[in-house]
Amino acid sequence: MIIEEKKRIYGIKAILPFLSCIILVLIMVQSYKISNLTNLMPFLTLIAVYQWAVYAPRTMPPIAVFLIGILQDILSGGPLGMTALFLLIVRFIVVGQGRKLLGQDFLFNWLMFLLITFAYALLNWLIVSLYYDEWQSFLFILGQAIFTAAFFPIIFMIFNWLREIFNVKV
Amino acid sequence: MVKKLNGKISTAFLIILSLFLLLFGQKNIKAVDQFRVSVEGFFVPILEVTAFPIRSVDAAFEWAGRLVSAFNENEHLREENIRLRKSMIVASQVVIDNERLKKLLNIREGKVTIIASSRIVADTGSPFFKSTLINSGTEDGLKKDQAVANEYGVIGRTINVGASSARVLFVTDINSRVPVKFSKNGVNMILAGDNSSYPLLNFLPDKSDVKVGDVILTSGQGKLFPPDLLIGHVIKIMDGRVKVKLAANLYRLNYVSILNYEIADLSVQHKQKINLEKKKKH
Repeated sequence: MIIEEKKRIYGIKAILPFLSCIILVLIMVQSYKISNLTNLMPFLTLIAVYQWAVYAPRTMPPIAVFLIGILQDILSGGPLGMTALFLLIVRFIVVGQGRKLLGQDFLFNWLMFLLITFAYALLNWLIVSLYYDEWQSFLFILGQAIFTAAFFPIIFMIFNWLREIFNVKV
Repeated sequence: MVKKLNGKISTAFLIILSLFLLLFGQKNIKAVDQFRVSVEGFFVPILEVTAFPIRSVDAAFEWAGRLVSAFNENEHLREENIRLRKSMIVASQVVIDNERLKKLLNIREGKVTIIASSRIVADTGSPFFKSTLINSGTEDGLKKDQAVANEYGVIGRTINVGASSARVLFVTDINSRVPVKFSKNGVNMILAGDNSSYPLLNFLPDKSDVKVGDVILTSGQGKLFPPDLLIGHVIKIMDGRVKVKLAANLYRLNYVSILNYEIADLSVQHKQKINLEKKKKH
């Protein structure tokens, strides 16, 4: 009986991080009818992958990150594999540092995330410029990075709440 | 230890796979395109459902905005109505003259039909890609490379078409090129997207007289966009670069029309003419 209950909870635990990322992809590609919001859309999936990779890396395996990235590339109409590549690199770095990040307070995590976001934005800008063979404007991607950093505490709070409710500490 | 190694191997494999897709997945490979449209088709109904709260909030704001500006707008519409009545009389005379002259010159024009009116279901969420997903596809008669417009002007063209969804490339996208002309003198140019809100006019003749406010229309060359559709007007001229403000607001799109353009087949017309002449002789 106890084993059955554990399995059931583990099932929710296993699917929750992936599902939350899919929901964030759907939020990102919605048509908001607000001038320039598309240009400044925060990297919500980056926040999610970062947080789950720090606090519950086993629930966010590389294949899940790859699928999230591919889905985002398809729904956003971008080059296939680009977001998947960026998110996999972020997961690899974060999981490598996971234990160190886990013991730190929120402000340290926010600062670390800020550095990762700006590196992510720079890489994004560089790859897209190479892809088009033309330097792209850095202004909007900088705006996206700032918005992402600003959105981090909100997503952090929501995911913390979810982790506590479903007891995700894998 | 083994688990950690497995994790590293799978990460490395997936990073290589992503790189492979990034390098080779964009070269119009049919399987990749098919995979893309299948996934898009699957997610379109989900996106439509999840967009409901956003649409409701947007509709509420629009309703409130209309209520606030109702009085001023009413006055403005009254004045506009009087002005339009006068221009309607002039316009109807011009239409009659135009038809008569076309008959005299035996001008054959292409046929433009609206295939479908579709709802916008997704945006890109990126400043580097300017496209959108719509909820119509091959089941509604859509094909690749069809013009897309709304009541204000041209928006783009269809690029990937699935059974019940299609991707529309905006004219502002860096990959978009549209043959256009000035309405005042018919000088042909190319409207090139640069991922900004204001696309550029390329291949402008050296001595062309460009002014801010000049109206830009589709030229009909390239057989994709029907001629004389409104694109927008010149908004800025700087260092030889001419920027265009689109007539359609790409940030506030709800529904778009997909246009089918059949150009007049001159060879068929020519044969018909010869047959007619033969019949007359007999």
